[in-house]
Amino acid sequence: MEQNTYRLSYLGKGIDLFKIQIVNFILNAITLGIYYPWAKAKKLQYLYSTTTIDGHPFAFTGTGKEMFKGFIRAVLLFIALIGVGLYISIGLHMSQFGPLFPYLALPFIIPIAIHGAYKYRMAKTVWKGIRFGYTGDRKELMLLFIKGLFLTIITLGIYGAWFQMDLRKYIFQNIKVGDAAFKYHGDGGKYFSIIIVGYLLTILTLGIYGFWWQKKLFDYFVNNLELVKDDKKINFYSIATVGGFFELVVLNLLLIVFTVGIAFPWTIVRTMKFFTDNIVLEGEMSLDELQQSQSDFSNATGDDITDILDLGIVI
Amino acid sequence: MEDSLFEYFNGVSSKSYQVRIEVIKDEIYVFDTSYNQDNGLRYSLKDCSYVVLKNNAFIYLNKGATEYIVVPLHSEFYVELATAIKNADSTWYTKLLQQKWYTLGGGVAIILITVYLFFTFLVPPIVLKFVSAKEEISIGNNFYSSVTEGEHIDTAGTFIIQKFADNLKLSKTYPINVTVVDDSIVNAFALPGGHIVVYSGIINKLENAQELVALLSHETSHVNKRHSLASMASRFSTSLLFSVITKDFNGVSKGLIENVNMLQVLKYSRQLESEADYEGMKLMVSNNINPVGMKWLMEDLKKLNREIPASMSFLSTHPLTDQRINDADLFCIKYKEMNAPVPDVQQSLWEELRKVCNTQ
Repeated sequence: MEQNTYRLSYLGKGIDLFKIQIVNFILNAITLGIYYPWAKAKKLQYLYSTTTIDGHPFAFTGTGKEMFKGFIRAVLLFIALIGVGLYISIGLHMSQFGPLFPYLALPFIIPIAIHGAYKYRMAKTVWKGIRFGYTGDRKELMLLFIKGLFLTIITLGIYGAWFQMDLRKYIFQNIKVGDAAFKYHGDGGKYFSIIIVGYLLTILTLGIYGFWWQKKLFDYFVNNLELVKDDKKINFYSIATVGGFFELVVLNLLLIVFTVGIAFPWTIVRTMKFFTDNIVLEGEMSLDELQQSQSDFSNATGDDITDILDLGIVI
Repeated sequence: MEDSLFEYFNGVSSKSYQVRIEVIKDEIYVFDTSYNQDNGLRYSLKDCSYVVLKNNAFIYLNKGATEYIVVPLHSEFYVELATAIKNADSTWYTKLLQQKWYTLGGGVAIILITVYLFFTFLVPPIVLKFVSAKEEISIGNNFYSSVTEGEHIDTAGTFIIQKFADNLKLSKTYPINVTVVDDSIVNAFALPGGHIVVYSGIINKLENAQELVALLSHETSHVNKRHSLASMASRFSTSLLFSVITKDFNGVSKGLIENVNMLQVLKYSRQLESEADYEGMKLMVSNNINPVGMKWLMEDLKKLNREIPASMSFLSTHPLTDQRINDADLFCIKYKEMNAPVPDVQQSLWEELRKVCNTQ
């Protein structure tokens, strides 16, 4: 069968991103932070539109207005949590438990937020005119999350590797682009060994092994990913090298240190370039055969909660 | 005309089609290759946007970006479309982005300076206006209990020093409550609303009753001038604002801004210290005590503090001791002839206090 190969590339420029961040800073400052959702939209629009597969850019179609509404809802949620906490402390005279309440609610809020965030982000991600979509179920994710968290705590963190893999698998198998679905084949045991070996060797080699470790983690992430449509699929391959990681990390560090952080946008661009340059897509499936099948979704509350909690979102 | 054929994506599949396009008034028309005028798709320019990457412009025909055409930059159509779409989308954000980087940098500088001025000069007086002396006293009481928790309070010393303070006219608005904490730290501080905490360490370093009056006058001036409330207001509001506007910054830039903020806090607290020295000396004069005690106090403190090099003075919360001694010297010139012995009651209280603190 015919094999198709696709390359990703990142065409953004540090100076453009820098200017976007400066303008966003000015507007955030003038509006005392209210502009934040619009600023975020501008930044995402830029980052998406400069990332390409097969020469065609991604588009982020989310708007500041949507994210502002989501932001307000997210803020109200946190105010309500703190309010309940205060009520428990003062109203019910359980001053020890009250301040803990918002934290105890987090294991429930985080999966809800992740669910909402992926639903929004994916629906607003478009490539070659085809919308992405997230078809995960909120309850399933919550059960998975609470089970994983519980086991991770009682195994003193060891189960964390399996938990992370389960979470990644669940999220990816529910990410669609048109009528094609992603799949992730990571395995908790293997991931655990990469983490343990990497951790020990990095300590023993005073950090030098860290670059090999980074490459292993990146490879494990990319090489286990595939996109499936009907009986055809496309595999993701990493062609990253240890030297590449070394150059990326060390130069980014030097850039940040010697410019007291001003070069931060340039390091983002360098990192995006590195990741996109080192991922190759190959398989029988053609990316020209995708059919529009995911619906639009405009509620950004989850996205804004993850933002407030500072949870990073992959993709 | 091959030049007028473009790649078109229809939002149904990811396959591209060859199309011809035409701009008529404020709409883009997309025709299939047969150029059948009746089959044209119409898109309003209002909904269009475009992205330029390498040699192509990607012209999105709807807000959802599902339908678009790819127009090579060398094509005549690009110029036509770009101007048409620009007219529809000349937002102020785009205009801001088109500014030179140094213009934008200037904007950032102006904002930071405004924030600095606002919080240094405007916020503290506003907060002070809204907090009454009564409220300040109750805030101070709360602070006092948490500050002294776990500290070893010297009850005998506290009793004597309180008597000593009561014999002075220190504050009209605030009840001055002095506490001696049994600790070798050479320090004393004032809380909002009238509590003054003095460590026995500093009492042991004082050489005479005038210096104790100077110390109490200095701390009382912090109370009278509501310094701790003002600096708390300034610190809290600045850090709150910085955290809001730097949300999108990375750790290093945030750290930088926080440190600049810290320097400003330190500078502010040095201003307050100088003011407390000055007001303290005025208090001494009004209590008929020669203000030269303040200068002696500074000289005693200088003996035991390894002096911070002048180049590092910006990192200090207190003005350099030398500078404070000079300032005190200037103030005292007028009072050179002032013959004001410490009253006997105070002198004996002072000696008693020395004894109590020394034995511990």
